[in-house]
Amino acid sequence: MTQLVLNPSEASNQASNTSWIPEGPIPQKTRSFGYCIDFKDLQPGDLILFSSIKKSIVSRGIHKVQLKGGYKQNDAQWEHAAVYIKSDTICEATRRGVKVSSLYAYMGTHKIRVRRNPILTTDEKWSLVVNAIKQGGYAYGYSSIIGLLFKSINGFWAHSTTRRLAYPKRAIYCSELYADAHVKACGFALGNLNGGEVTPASLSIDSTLSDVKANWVKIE
Amino acid sequence: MKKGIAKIIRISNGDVVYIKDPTRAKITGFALGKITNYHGESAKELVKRGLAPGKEVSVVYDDIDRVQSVSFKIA
Repeated sequence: MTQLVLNPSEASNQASNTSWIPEGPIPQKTRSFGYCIDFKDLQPGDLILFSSIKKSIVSRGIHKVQLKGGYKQNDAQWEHAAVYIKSDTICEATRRGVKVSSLYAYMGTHKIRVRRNPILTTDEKWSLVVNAIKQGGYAYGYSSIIGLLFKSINGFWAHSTTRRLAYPKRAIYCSELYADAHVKACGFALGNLNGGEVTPASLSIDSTLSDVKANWVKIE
Repeated sequence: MKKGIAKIIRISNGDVVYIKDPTRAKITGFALGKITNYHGESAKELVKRGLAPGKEVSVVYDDIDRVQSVSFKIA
């Protein structure tokens, strides 16, 4: 499956011919980078996948866990996931918890890939957004991440058969935020539907979602 | 409309229950509101009443294989 990726190092080649004049202030870092994702290509409820150019310890860790768990490099490279809302706004689970934040934070520093369930209605897309935002205030699911680390040792291809801790705390991680909101919006599950876990890599490979052709625009 | 018996695989931190029906190839999921006689309990409260990985539940699917309703024996 060919991935449609926005790579900051190729922004000048990938940019559309139109330029963009922001309607309000944008971060200096984004202005210095000179390009922004064209928000007109995105729709509410889209999955945004991120792969950092300069990997932090956490990013490298997620990458390694996904590789070890059996995903190929092209899918394992995606270490973060968010729900697109509108304009530059996304909803994401970070180490500070679930919050509404801005895509500008990722311009120039991350490869970006947009995926969408093509059969979602407009109502379902907004339902996905609302269900993600409702998780606001949830902490980051560190214990779930540790669980995924242990599961990767056996391989994510192993079918889930063991009884695991069921106590659901008010904590969630990035790809789980999107996958749960997707089930609540349209009733279809995403992720590794053999092993039962969901990671950015499993959302990368999920055939329910299709890649969206998004473009860079040059900032005026 | 189709019926089946599935086993709970995972209850996510976002209050979605993932189940595996042996007659179906893949895991599916449902929000707590699909549970018959659900009255707004949190996942934590339902776990105390027996909703846990390994538990068998009765599932009704709609015509496009989405979970329509789920019932299980409350402890």
